[in-house]
Amino acid sequence: MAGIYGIGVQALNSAQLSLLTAEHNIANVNTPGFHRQEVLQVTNFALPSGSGYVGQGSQIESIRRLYNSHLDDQVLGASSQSQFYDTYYSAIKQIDNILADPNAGLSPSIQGFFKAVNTVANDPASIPARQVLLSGAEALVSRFQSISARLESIRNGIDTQLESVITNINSYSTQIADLNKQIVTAQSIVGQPPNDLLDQRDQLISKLNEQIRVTTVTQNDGSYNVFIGNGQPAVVGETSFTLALQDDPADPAQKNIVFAQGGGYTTIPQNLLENGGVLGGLLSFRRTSLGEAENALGRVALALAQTFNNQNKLGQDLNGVLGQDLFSIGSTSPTIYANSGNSSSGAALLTATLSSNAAGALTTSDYTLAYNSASSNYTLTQLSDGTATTIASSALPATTSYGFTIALSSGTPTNGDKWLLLPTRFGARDISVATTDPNRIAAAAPIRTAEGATNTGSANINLGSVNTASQPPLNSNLQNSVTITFTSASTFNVTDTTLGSTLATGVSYTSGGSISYNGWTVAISGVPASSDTYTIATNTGGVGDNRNALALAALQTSNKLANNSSGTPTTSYQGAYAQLLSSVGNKTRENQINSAAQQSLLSSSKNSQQQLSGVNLDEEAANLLRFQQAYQAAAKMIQVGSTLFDAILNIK
Amino acid sequence: MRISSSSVYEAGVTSLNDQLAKLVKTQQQIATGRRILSPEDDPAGAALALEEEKALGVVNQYVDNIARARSKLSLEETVLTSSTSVLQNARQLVVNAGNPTLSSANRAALATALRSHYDELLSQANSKDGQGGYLFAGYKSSTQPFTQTTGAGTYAGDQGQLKLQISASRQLAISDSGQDVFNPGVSGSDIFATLETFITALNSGAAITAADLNTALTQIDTAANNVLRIRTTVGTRLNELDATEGSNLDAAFQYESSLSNIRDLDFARAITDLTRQQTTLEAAQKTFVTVQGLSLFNYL
Repeated sequence: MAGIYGIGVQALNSAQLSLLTAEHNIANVNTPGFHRQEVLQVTNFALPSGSGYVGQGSQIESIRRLYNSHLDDQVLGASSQSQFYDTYYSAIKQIDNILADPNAGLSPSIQGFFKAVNTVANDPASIPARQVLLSGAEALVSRFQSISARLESIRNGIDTQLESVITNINSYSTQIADLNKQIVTAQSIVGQPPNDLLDQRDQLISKLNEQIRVTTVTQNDGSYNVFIGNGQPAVVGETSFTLALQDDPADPAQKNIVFAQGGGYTTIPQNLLENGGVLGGLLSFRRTSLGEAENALGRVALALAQTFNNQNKLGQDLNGVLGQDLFSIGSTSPTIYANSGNSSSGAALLTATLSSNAAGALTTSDYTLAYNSASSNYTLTQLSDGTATTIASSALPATTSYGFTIALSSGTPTNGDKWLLLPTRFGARDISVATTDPNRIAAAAPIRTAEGATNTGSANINLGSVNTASQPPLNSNLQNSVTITFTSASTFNVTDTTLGSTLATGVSYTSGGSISYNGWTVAISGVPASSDTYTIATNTGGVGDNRNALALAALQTSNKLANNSSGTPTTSYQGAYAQLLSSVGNKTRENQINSAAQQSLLSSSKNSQQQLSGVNLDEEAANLLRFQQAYQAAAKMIQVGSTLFDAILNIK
Repeated sequence: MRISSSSVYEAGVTSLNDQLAKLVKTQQQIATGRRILSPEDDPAGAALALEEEKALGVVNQYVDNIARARSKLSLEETVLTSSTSVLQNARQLVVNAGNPTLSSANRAALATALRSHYDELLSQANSKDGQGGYLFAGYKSSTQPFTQTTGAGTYAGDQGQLKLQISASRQLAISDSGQDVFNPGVSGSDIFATLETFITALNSGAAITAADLNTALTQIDTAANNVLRIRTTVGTRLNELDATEGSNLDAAFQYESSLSNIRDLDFARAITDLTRQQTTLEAAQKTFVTVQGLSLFNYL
């Protein structure tokens, strides 16, 4: 009799627990991180008797969550990667948008500037045309500056985002450590898994994983240890560790993630943090695409400014004097940063300067320099491909093949001292127009040629040109008066009449051949007669001359950047900009595709995980019906027991 | 297979988002008329479009330069044509002056007429262009090249020749120096010296000798032939401008059409895409509502 009651009451309890669990599932259908729960119902020990084992009903052994660590880990991995690509994509999409905007892009400004240069070439004496050129230069410079400012604001934005990511990571770590403690306690009280606390902790791990890729190790007491990077602990048991931002010792313009330990901070190699999550996406974007975009833009600015200046210096301006710089490059190209960890005792101060014909040699890479006292060498490493060049310290100041010169301006280097060299990063930011005087545009060439009035031969001299090969600096005798006097139809003498010196005698004449002295080249063609003279002299009053303006205009279509291995430039200003555009476009597209791929991987692994752990309302509705019936049946059992008991009591 | 209720919901929402994103993209393409909205859409195409735009800009610049060259050369041609006729008239006067029946008063009158031709020629040699620069001063465009002097003509200009870039590989001269046109200071072909000498002879009161007459006529012919020669080269250059302009315009058209191929939208296709995407989105919306409405609880 007691057995009937007992089994009935236990069955009633079991059905009630099952109903509660189904209701819990229904109530949490939309709770993030919730795993479906189910009751584990088992039969009681049967009672042995002479008639055999008599079943004693059932009981609830445990309430468990439907959890498979393999499935959940897959979701974690996919979501971390997905966040990485999403973050990278939205960051690089900003650059993509800047370059896409036809009004903000650089190309129309370069086009407009050279249109103005052509206007001056068409009408070299016109002040309004020259004014248009200066305005075009101002517009071009301000376009460089505004694109550079937008890139810089993206860089600053990354620091802000890193700040908030670090805050999130630290907050999640604290909460996970706290839950570790609660879970260990809860588990020890009843010896049953605290399902909802476990869900909460897994949900936090998942949130943490979206910020930074982590690995977890489950301890015997049920707590998690969480690791980041290459094994730095974020959470160990009930203790959490803190990440912080500190100035990068190599580059004071950016911040690094550091790890708080023992009252101090330890640097984590930043590339180890680039393996996933929002943090990884931000760091990776900053190190690769952002730096490359800034450098590529800076390189176009530097190359344009320097080649234009160089050509302007080969000409003569409207005041009749030799041309000067039209653009100012500023002193930040290159910039060299001493590592903050460098020895203070030696206080070595390295400086870097741009070479005078750097345009073709400049790359879009940054460089590091490291000093080794044993060999007394500096190692210059190009960061984009790791190419290392050794420079003996005795060789300083040394001209590199990358368009800059390195010098030790004071102090003595100590072993292990390091420097970061940014040749082009600030090129676009710091370019400016060096003059407001339209007369200063050197449209004319500084020399002119003339034929003697009494010449009897039929040879003609061409207009002549200034050599560009090793100028500027200009040959100091460039504008001296030089007379070419034919001593026969096939030989001539060359005299510098300004210095009164003979440059050459008995030179054999070839019709149309180049004749080069004092930094200029002319050609005489036709048949000269003995004692015919040709003169080369300073271009006094040559305000209508446009030879140098034509050379300036031709810069637009000349290859001036990106030397190949034999030292020949391979692209123009706009070509280099188009390369930047295509590289950013490709990278954006690549990340968009990766992001979409990860998204679909994430949703497929989420589906697998949800197949096991997700709540299906129809299923729970069916369960409600099932457990309701079980409850009603158990209640009936008790009623039957009661009836039977009454039957006994009624025996009189 | 179990499917969780939230999976059903999420799958529906994700698909709605995807369809909407595609629709919006197509809509933006149609609104701007551009296939490439940002370099991401076609990195190689976007870079190529920049290069084509640059090439187009450069060719258009050549076309502008040609217009400028044409106006300069036409002006020069006009001046040279006038000079030729002045020289012809001067020659006629010189021929007349050889008539032995002329009185010294007649010769003085001829001298006055010849002087006015001289002045006319001098003013032509000092012609200015629309911007106020001297046409025949070489590079010294702000220096008056010719002044009336007795004896040999003096030339204050230089032998510079202004050139313009009219195609990628061609710089065309758009001016000729006064030295080349009028040969100042060159004995035997300095037209100003010739006329000056002859005017002096006419004013001297003495009759013109046959030798003087021949020298003057020969020298005027030499000068006239030289002006004609320069005029011919100007004409040749004007023809070259026309030919080059034609090829530049052809190139510009090529660049424009290739730019359009790279960058511009195929509207017919885009509209079709839009319609299809709209249908898909509407279907997704409808099925989403239907699927979300299915629940066992409806029957409990």
